[in-house]
Amino acid sequence: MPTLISLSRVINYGLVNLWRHRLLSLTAVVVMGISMSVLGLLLVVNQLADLSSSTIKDRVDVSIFFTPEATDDQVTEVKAEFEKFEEVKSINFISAEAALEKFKQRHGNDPLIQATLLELEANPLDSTLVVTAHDLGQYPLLIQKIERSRFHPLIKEINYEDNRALIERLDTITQGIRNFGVLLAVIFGCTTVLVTFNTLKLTIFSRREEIEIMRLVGASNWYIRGPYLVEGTAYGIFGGVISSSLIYPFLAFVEHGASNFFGFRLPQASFFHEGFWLLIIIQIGVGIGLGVISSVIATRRHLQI
Amino acid sequence: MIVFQKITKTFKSGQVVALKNVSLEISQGEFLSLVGKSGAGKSTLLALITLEERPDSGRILIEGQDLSAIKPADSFYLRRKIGVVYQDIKLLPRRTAAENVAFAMEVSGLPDAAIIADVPKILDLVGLKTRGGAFPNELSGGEKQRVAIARALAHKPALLIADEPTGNLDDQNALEILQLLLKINEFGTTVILATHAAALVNKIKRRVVTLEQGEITYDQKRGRYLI
Ligand SMILES: Nc1ncnc2c1ncn2[C@@H]1O[C@H](COP(=O)(O)OP(=O)(O)OP(=O)(O)O)[C@@H](O)[C@H]1O
Ligand SMILES: [Mg+2]
Repeated sequence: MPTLISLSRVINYGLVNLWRHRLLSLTAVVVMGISMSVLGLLLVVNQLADLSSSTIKDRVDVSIFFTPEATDDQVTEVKAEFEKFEEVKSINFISAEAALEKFKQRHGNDPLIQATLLELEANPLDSTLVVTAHDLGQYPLLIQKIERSRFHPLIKEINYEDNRALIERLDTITQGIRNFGVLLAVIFGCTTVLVTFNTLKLTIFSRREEIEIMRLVGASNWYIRGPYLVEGTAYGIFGGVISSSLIYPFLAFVEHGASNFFGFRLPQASFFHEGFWLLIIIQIGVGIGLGVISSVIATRRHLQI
Repeated sequence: MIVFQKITKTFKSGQVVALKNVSLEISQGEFLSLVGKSGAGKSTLLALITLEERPDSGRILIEGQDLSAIKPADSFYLRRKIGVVYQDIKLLPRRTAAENVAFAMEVSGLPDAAIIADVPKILDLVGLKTRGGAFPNELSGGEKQRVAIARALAHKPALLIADEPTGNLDDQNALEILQLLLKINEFGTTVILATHAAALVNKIKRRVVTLEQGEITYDQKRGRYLI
């Protein structure tokens, strides 16, 4: 069992090793940092793609405009009837009055519109039901059902913008980004392991005298391998810290553009806000993981007696 | 303490026979000289004790424990009970004499306080009280051997193995090293000394085991080295 003394010595050896061949260590840290930056970018891009596609999906709905003759009671009845359709996720009723109120509010400081409204005797706006489906593919069927219902005479117009082609294309792109990202992550991951492994291999060779003596005077395997595990871990931590500090300004820069694109602030949980810590943890965590894998391979292959 | 039972050890898949059917018993506190010409198998026999080599056949017991039952990964545990002075010394060139000794103590998990307290004492014991700060290339052959002995003693082993510690030394220095080993033996440590220095072993009147081409040809209680 490794004692506390041994543990602190192992950590100390590892860090001293790392410092002794700092140029070599720097290579490993830089490669680790690049890989973790790529990983971070991929995660961010992936999240943005997800957000944009779900934002667009959320905005798809069908608006049913009723004729001016349709009373609120009738529309409420229609709403109750349509809610029975299994495709329907939600129906929102906007009465003509409410719609007008909202319109007035929105254009409250436009005197021309205010004046025009005053001149009108009747409410120019219609009562509306805004219907959303559970799934994008359900909209065509849903619209058919609405058109064929017995309430059809009350309906003035059904407004549905068919965004499906666009959304499908967006989904294909998102999926493409994801596949490419996984491939890229694997390539960078392997490169990192290879470079780190080679770095550790070199340091093991440069210290083989010491290692041999350690063995002969009774060092446990754990004690001999430990410093290299510490080194690999340290590469991962430094690499993760580097990439995290690179990605922070990048995110700040992107956030502005992204917010404009979506028309609202990015979700609190996204990498741009509270999720940033998650991103850091992922980068450092993966860095440590790769470092440990590399050092396990290196010590397995080059520390056998 | 150590029992060899019909040990055979070959190299290069049987082409080189280093030890042939060797049986030997070494008791606690004994001082044993292992003599023989170059290539007789002395170092091989010692390497079997420290598990650097494994026999092809036969059994080795140390304090009743069968060495074949010890997995390579656990061999460190046995090595901590044994101090070894290697034929090729194996000091770390970039560490001072004291650091070389301290290194072995660190490795075996001794606390810093014990290391700081014990290193000067051990250096004093081997007669290097004032040379602790010197690097190996600043030391004479005899002094290097002393450092190697100090390091072997650092973790207070019950058994000290010295492989040709007097190899490159003049008679005077060789004798001093031998006297140091005898002193260590007097403290209770079992000592196995491998050498082909005839004159040296003749002087001490201790047990002498002679190896010839991998076989034990003489085992004399207080004998003279006959070859
Ligand atoms: N690792 C090895 N591979 C192949 N042959 C070996 C190996 N180690 C030892 N031998 C051979 O085994 C025989 C015994 O060698 P060993 O080193 O035990 O001799 P020795 O008695 O210690 O000699 P010396 O006095 O020169 O140190 C020699 O013939 C040697 O060449
Ligand atoms: Mg030898």
